[in-house]
Amino acid sequence: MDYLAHGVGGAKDLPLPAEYAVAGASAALAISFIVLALAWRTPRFRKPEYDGTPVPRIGALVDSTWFRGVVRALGFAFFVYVAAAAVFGKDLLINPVFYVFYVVLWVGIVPASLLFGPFYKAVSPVRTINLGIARLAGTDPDRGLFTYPARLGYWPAALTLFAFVWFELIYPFNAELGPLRLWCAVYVAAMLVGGALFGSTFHEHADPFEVFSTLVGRLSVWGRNAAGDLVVRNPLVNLDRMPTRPGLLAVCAVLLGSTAFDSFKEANTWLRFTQGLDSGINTVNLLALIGFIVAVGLLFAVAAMLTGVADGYRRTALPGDFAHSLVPILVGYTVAHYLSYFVEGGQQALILLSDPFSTGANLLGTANWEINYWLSYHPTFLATTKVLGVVIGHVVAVVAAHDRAIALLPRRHQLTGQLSMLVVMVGFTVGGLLLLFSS
Amino acid sequence: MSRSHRSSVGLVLALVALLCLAACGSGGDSPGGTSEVVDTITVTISGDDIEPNGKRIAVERGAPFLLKIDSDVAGELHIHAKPQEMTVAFEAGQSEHTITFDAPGIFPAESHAHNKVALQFEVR
Repeated sequence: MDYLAHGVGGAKDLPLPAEYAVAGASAALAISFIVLALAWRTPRFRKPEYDGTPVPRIGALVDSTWFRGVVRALGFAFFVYVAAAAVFGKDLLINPVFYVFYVVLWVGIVPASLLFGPFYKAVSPVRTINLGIARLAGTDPDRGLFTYPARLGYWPAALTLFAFVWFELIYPFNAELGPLRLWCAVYVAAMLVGGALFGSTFHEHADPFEVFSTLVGRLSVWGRNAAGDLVVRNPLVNLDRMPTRPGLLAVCAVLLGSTAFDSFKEANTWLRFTQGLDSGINTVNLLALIGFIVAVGLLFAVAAMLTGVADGYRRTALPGDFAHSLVPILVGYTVAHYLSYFVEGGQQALILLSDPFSTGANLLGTANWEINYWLSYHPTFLATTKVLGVVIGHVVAVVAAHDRAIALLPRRHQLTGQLSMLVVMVGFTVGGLLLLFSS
Repeated sequence: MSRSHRSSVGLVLALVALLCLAACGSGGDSPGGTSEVVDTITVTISGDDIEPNGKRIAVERGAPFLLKIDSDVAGELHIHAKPQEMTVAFEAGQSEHTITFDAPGIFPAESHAHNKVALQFEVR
């Protein structure tokens, strides 16, 4: 039950077998050079013929007021249900709020957004409240008192995402109800104030869950063409069409760096080292977390800039221009890191949701279900899936970066200019496999 | 195809060959851990100190494991195992407990009173 408590303890998967890690790393390396050597030489994903296939029927459905209303109402009902458990429930680990927060919300964002695109945006309770206030006041929910400063970009989300990973991975009392409630209250309050000031544009740039979800949703097949119609298209095209905004690299660095740190923290050597310290464990862990995030961001930025550029092109724009290609790597690694936690913790959440106030109730009829540990009993399948997740993420990332490089770099730098990026991406992937192997 | 192109293709082929060697060379399904399988260990608790300080030991699935505890106070070790959590309650002094693991995984044995991990079981 306690295995959601990231702090100490918690059951986890067996380390990746060495030969799996080696095979994954070799595959990543080989495929990277195949892409570099053999892939197309003119940018593809920005061509109009890659816009995607319009799906007018599904488009009409998902854009209809009633459908949006129903999805929003379901999302809000779930929020109220869980909030009631958080406010009136007991401070026990059988309170469903912990599993909902750490597993369903945080990890569930990834599969939900891969399947449905920017999922959180459609169900976001803070957007719903903002919408309700705007309706009452007769104002436009998308606009606030001020215009959101474009130069801030995703930087606020990098901060709020950091606040989340700090709470999840460092803060020692993250499995107690009071602190969790406080974190969520501050989150909702900050989002409402931001919504009042800047409208829902603020949520698009500052809500940690929405930004994470929209980012991952770029790897779904759902997109919008220039006319705003719903289309089905290659996820790589979707990813390429993501607007480049300031802070995107920071957001990716927080997400990838923190997940890598989570693996690292579970390694036996680190556990024994931190337990041997007399004090300051949390400070040491916090510094390591920041170190991972900064290392990911810096390595990527330097790799993006180590190329020749055309005259008049600002080299410092390159890290942002390539940041989208970090998304598949972080999604692949997140899948590998969280797969069994999501499958088994998600079932636990479903079971606990039947009894929000720890009174022995069975409101949803799920209270007597038992967790299916099939995945844990099949470590070979689990390990294979993890390696596949990491390698597929890597390949998608390399292809995304390749297409961007030949679009942005002058012809004579196109091949050599990609080498540093390739080296760093292989480094991230091998590093990730190494963490899964040694933790 | 240019010359540099051809040499990169050669490089790729070499890498693919390397990959096959790496993938096919070592068979089996041994997990990444290197520790030797043991069937008993002693946990020593004195004051704030828990030995062997979170050490990871390899344990065989389904086989009885003898956990010896030598503690200056009574207490509990929680083993975060799948599919069931285990609680090992002990008295002050020396005690012996037999436990059996069903599912594979890494399962820490933790003393909540100390907020420390005494051991990690690597169950194969």
